Amino acid sequence: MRILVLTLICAAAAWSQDRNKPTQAKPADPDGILWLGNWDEAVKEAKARNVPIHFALHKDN
Amino acid sequence: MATSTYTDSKAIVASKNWVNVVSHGDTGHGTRDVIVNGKEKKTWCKEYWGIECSVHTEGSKAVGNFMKGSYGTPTTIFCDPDGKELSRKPGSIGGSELVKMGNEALAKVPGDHVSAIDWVAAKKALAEIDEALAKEDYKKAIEALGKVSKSKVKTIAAMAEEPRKKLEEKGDALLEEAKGKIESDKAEAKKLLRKVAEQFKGLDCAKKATEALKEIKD
Repeated sequence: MRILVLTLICAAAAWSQDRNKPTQAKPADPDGILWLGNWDEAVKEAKARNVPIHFALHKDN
Repeated sequence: MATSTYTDSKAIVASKNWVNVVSHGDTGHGTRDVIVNGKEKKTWCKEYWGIECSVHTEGSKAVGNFMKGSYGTPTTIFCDPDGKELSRKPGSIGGSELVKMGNEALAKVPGDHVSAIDWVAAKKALAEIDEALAKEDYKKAIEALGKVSKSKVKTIAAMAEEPRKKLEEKGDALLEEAKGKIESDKAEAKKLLRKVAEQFKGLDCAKKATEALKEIKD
């Protein structure tokens, strides 16, 4: 029983250490959709560029 | 959609013809460290390209413009440049459908459109002008001005007017300073005039400086 508890503690410690390890930065994709979050800025830019606004309601709270 | 529609290469290309706003209130998906342009380390949202989570959470503030009460996600909405709704599609859509919706919205906006690629390049050049002006590196500012003023896109070329005016004013001020020194310190006056003539090439103040140099008798 003691051995089992000790093994579990060790496994949990190892998992926690792994989880806190900083992830290695990978090269970003060179291109993607340019997202804005501020609606007023989006309208200002859309007017200046004379283009539509795509509003993606992806997920709520 | 974050890992399919929004990473679809055709949707990415087409999206440069619109302004994209994302609403996503949750941040539980976390962040990822990335290397941008092979050197710059940044922390991006795990779900969306090129942004921090604060961007998509801010986008959720705009939901009230389009939804009353409870609503389903995902929903895709296209608006005109004033923010007035043109079309809406509830549920998941693929990259091709997003492109179709966007192109239909674009067709409803008459006149010349400026792509995000031209827009971002112009903004970068305008920032370069400001930076060079602050460092009094007028030659570099003029070079950056050329990137904007020579654009084939009329809207972009028009954006060069304000910084051009600023540069002309700076050149004129140096010109006046030089003229004020002609009697007292001719050598310094000529040095200043040459500076304006060389560093502000292409502007009216440079032409005026060249003329003034010719008029100075040794």
